[in-house]
Amino acid sequence: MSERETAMEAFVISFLVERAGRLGFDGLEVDGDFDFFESGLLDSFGLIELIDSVESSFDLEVDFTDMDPDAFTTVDGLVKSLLSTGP
Amino acid sequence: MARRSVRPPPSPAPGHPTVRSLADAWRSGVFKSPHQSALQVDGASISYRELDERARSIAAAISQADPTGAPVAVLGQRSLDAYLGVLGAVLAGRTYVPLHPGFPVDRTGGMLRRSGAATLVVGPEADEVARPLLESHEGALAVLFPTRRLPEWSASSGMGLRLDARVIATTPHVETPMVSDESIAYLLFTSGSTGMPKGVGVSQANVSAYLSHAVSAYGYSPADRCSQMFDLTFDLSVHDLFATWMAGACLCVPTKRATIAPAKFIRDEEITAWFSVPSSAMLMDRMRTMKPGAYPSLRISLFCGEALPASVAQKWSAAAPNSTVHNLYGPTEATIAITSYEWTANSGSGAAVPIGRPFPGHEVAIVDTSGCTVGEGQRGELCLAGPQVTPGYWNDPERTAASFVVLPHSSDRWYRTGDLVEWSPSDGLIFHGRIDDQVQVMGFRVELAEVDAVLRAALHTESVITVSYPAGPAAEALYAFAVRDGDQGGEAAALATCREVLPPYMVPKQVFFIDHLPLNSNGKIDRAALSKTLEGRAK
Repeated sequence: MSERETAMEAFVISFLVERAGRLGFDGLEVDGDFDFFESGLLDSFGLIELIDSVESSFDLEVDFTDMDPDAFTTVDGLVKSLLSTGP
Repeated sequence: MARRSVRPPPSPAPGHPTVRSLADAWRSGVFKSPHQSALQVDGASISYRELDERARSIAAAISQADPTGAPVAVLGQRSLDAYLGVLGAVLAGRTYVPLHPGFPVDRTGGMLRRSGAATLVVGPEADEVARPLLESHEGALAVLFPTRRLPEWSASSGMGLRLDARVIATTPHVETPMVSDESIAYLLFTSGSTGMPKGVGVSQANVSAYLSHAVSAYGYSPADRCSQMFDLTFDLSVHDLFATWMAGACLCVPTKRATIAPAKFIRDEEITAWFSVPSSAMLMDRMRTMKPGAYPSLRISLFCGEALPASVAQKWSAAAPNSTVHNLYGPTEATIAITSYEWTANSGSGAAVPIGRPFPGHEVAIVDTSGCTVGEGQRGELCLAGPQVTPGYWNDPERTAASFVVLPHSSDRWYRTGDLVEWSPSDGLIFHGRIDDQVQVMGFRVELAEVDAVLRAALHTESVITVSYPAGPAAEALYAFAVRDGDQGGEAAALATCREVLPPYMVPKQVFFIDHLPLNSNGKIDRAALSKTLEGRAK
C-alpha cells in the first residue's frame, strides 16, 4: 500500500468514525472492509460529502461515470476507486 | 370574491382506458412479448412467459393459503421474490401492500396490521426484518418464500402456513379472478402529521386511467429498456413496473448500490426510458457523471417526486441528447402523476421547471382558503378532480373527508393537495411549495411534525423543531433544533432513537442545541429562519 493510499484510508476511516460517534451508531467496526452504505451510516448525500471531502484534501477530481458502485461503498473500495483515476 | 375559472384549455377527449386493472396491464405485456425479457434482476433475465408462469403459481398459492381475498403484503426490495410477490398478488386479484425491509420493524408491523393482510411474501434480503415482524404479529399470517426453501427461522416465528418455492411451484394454477374497477390495486403508507403513517388505497380504475395515458403519451414499446429506480413503497414504482410490462418492455433493476450512482447501470444496460427523482440527477452531476453525450441510449426521461431545477433539466438533456425530458407531478392520492411538462431548451428561464398541464380527463382548480377559485396569476392551493383521484385514506373517514371535498359551485369530488401553485397560460401549473409543514426529502414525503414528535420524546423537551435543508420544496436532508433544558439526552442518543422508529430518510442528520426557538410574525416557530441558519453549518 502506497503512502498516499494509507493516508487516504486513514482519512476515510476517521471521517466515518466521527460520523458514527455523532450519530449514535454503536458497535460499528470501521476498517478497510467496512461498507458505509450497507450499514446505513451514509446515504447518497453522505457519500457525496465523503467524496468531496477526500477530493479536496487530496487534490483529486474523479469522474465516476464508468465506476462500479458495488466496488466503492467500502473503505478500501472507495480509496482504490479514487486513486484509479487520480493524478 | 368573484369566482373565475383558471381551468386549463380543454384537453383532448379523455382516452378510454385501454386496460381495466394491473392484471390486464401485465397480460398485455405477456401477449405482446411472450419470449422477450420482462425483468432483469440480480444478474438474471426472465422472459414474460416464464415470469407469468411463476407469478401464476404464487397467485394460486395465495388463493389457496387465504381464500378470504385479504390484501397481500410484500416485504422485499430489488429481488426476484419481491417482483413475484407483487405480480402474484395482482394475478390473485388482491390488493398488494409493499413493505420496506430497511424500515424499522415497529413501523412496518403497524402497516402490516392496519392493512389487514393475511399473506406475506418475503424476499431473502428481508429476513432480518421478517423474523421479528412475524414474532410480534398477532394472528395467523400465511408466509410465502417464492424462490427458496423455508429459512430455518420461519418455523418458530408466528402462526400460519409457511410455503416454500417447491410447494408454490406445484400448486395448481387458478383463473385470475375478475376484479371490480373500485377494488383497491395497491395500498401505500405515507408520513402522517399525527405520528402515524397514512394509508392510501389506489383503485384499479385509478391506476388503469394513469397507465392507459402514460404508456401511450410516452410511447413505451417492447423495444424499451426501462429503469426501476423507485423503491416499491414509493408509488412511482407502480409506473416503473406496470407501464413497462403493459408495453411488453424490459424492466431493468439496478442493485441498491447502483441506485446511488446509476451512471454505469444506464450505460451497461442501454436504458432507453428513465424515471427518477430529480435528486438522482443532482447526485449524478456531483459525481461528475453528467458529461454531454454520456447517455445516448435514452429516448425518454421522466422526473417526479420533487421540484426539478431547470439547471438539472438542462444538464440531463445534454447528457442524454436523444431523450425528451418531462417533469411530472402528482401526489399518491391522485395516483402516481397527474400533470406533466415537457422541458425543452426554449423553456422559460424560471429556476424550477413548471409542472405543466393535467392529463386528459382531469381538471385542476386553484383555490383560496375558503375553496373559491383564485384569479389568473394568483397563488392558491391546487385541487384535482378526475379518474385518478383515489377513494381516500385507508379506514380513515375523518382524514378522507378533510382532504377529498366538494368545492363551491362544483359537484365533482376534489382532492386538496396542500400544494401551492399558480396558473400560467403558457406553461400551465407552476409549483410554489407546500401550504403546511410537509416536505420532500429525495422525493419522499415527510410530515415534519412526525419527526418533531419522536425527537420530543427522545430529548425530553417540548422545544424541538425539525427543518429541511436546503429550504424550499426539494430538500436533501432534515436537521433538528432543540433548546437545551437541563438533563436531557444528547444528540447521538436522540438520533439513535429516531433510527429505531423512523425510516432512514426521516432521521435528521444533526441536532443543534440553541438558546431559544425563533418565532415568525404569526407567533409560530420559524422553520424557514432556522433552515437559513444552516447555510455553511450543515454537515
